[in-house]
Amino acid sequence: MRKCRLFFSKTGKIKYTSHLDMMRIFRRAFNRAELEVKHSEGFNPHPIMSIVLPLSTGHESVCEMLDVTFGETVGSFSGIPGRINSALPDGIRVEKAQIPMRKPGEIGFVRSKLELLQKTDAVTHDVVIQKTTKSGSLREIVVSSTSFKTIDDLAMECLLPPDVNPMLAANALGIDFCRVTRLEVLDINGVKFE
Amino acid sequence: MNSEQILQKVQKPARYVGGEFGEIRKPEATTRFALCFPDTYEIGMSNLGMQVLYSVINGIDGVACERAFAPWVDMAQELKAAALPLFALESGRPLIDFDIIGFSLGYEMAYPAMLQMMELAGIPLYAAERNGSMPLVIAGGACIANPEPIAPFIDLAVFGDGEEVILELIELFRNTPERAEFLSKAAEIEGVYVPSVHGSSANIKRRTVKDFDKAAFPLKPIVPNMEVVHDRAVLEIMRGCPNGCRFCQACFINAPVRYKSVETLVEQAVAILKHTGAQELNLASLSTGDYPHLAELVTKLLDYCEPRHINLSLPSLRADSFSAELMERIQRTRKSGLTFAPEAGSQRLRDIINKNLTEEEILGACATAFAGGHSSVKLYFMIGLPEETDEDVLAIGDLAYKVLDTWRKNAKNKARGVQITVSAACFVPKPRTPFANYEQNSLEEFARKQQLLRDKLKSKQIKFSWHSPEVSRIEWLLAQGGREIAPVLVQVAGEATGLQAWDEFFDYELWVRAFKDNAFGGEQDA
Repeated sequence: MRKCRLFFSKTGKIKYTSHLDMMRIFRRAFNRAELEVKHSEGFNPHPIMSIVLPLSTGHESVCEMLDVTFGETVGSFSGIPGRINSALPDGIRVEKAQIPMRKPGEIGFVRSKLELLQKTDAVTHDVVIQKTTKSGSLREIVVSSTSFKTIDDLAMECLLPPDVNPMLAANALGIDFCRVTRLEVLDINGVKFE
Repeated sequence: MNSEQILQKVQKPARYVGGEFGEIRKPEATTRFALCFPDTYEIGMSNLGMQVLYSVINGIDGVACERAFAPWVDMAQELKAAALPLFALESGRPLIDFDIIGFSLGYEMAYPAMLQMMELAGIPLYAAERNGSMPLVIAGGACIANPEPIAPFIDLAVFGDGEEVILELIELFRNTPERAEFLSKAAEIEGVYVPSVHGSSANIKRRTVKDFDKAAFPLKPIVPNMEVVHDRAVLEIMRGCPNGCRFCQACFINAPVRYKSVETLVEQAVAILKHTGAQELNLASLSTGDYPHLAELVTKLLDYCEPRHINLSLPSLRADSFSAELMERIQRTRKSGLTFAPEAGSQRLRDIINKNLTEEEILGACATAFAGGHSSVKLYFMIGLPEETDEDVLAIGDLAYKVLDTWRKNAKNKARGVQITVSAACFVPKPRTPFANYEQNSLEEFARKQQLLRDKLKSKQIKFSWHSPEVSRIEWLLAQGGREIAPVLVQVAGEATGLQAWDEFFDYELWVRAFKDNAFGGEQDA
């Protein structure tokens, strides 16, 4: 068993591809690149792979992670980006492949960039984000104003827990539409998650 | 709203942006061809003809082939509201800026979607309203067996195999800038129908590829980023069908039967699987069981597929196609269930339609399958076939009960139960078949026959599903209709809220009104 974490970016038109379709894309890319992926045991074997922190359809990212268990025939991880990048569609680029250092549950924050169409004032007070939970009930999350940082008139950054969609934060600020790019995944202490 | 905001709002935005593995972009091209499919991305990208033409046209130096599909109803509304024209996937360029717009027409119910796409693109619907500065609008596909209903909209159509004639047409187009001159020359190419030159389409000769083994085939198809109807690699092993079932249009418009060699197929299979990374290889044809070297082909393909966990799917197999040993090898890699298309319930009617499948064959294959652990069977029939009596309709039920009986006698594990699905479509007589001039059953007759069958199929183990007689009615009117249908299509395209080929959007009342408004008699016509 050779567990590997791929670090990749998802930019451009590929951002409209859903999380489930991303899994399908990687599965085919592994086949194309002849990188053997371990399959689960059982009646319906499936390749052992998962995306560490799913990204909303329509959002871009420069810090995506995919965990995959390779078979014995796959050589050193360092050669993997070179092998798989030519097997992936435009917009997905694997930068690094290494043994996972941390478990997905240790993710504390995600830093994202919001690009706006109209000038928005700096956030000076706490923001209340409405979130519909899986059970359908409404949950309120209060985010401190320090979670938002103005970059310029048409861009800001936000630092949010991994289960809060940056688009919801934007909506809470009265922004209907913005371009979202995930910049960095951090642990609870603000250390880069790898 | 800009297109990025729209894409953020609509369902499945990946339908509209391209960027897939295998997509071809040729910004330097001097001739631009938009290959248009009048249904959704998911359906169009599962269509082999689209992939073949895409690769053939892009193979020409200086010519770019891009794709466009019918937008889903949400996207169509957003485009209209924002006054954005329909665009092609590769470059995002509006369709109206292309030199040639080519529609793939495989199903009559997609005619309104073709017109809706032209409307969204801002292209005048009637050929007579377009001048030489507008894109040339062409069409191909099975519907060209009778192109009369859409003849007023197109500049020309291709009848038969498209992969060779499209090259001749594009070359002529590039060398003949004057539109009228181009059309008169195009009218002389075999398989090309030009309404403004030929008038009626009655005597159009069908085009066939002679050397099928050497025919162009896409070894590097586009691999969709999103899930489509058929997520698999496709290998076309033969074209045409030797069975000659009298109702089947595909058989008559794809004749003669042509096979690819085992050598070519194995080579193509390996190339396609390497390029696509697919987990399933589909051997496509009208009747795979009739491929003469099937055992040899399947053995060779399994040698490649088995160690790579690639499923081999073989549709329309006959029970006697393989030795038990080879059958077992195939079963191990494929997951699909057992399907038969007896088409008619009685042997008498099967003889009339020339469907070469006996009850003994069906029950024998079922017995083997049940004994081997299968627990579901699908049976496909048609009602409303020529010379059909109520006894023939009820015989569908008898056959279903015999299959159930076969399960009782042979099932390995009865505790698992059995599911027999009986599907009854309403027969639509199609042009260029021996039944072309047969008048379709009325809606009342279809309803009565469906009720007969419903009353008979009361068993919990038999699931009965049927097609809407209303859809089949309209399909028939369009399939055999003449030029007078054109304004009906324009009205439906203008008023329909969604794709008429989709049951959820099909609006029978709208069609009836459109027929009446355009001087058709009413109930007896629609």
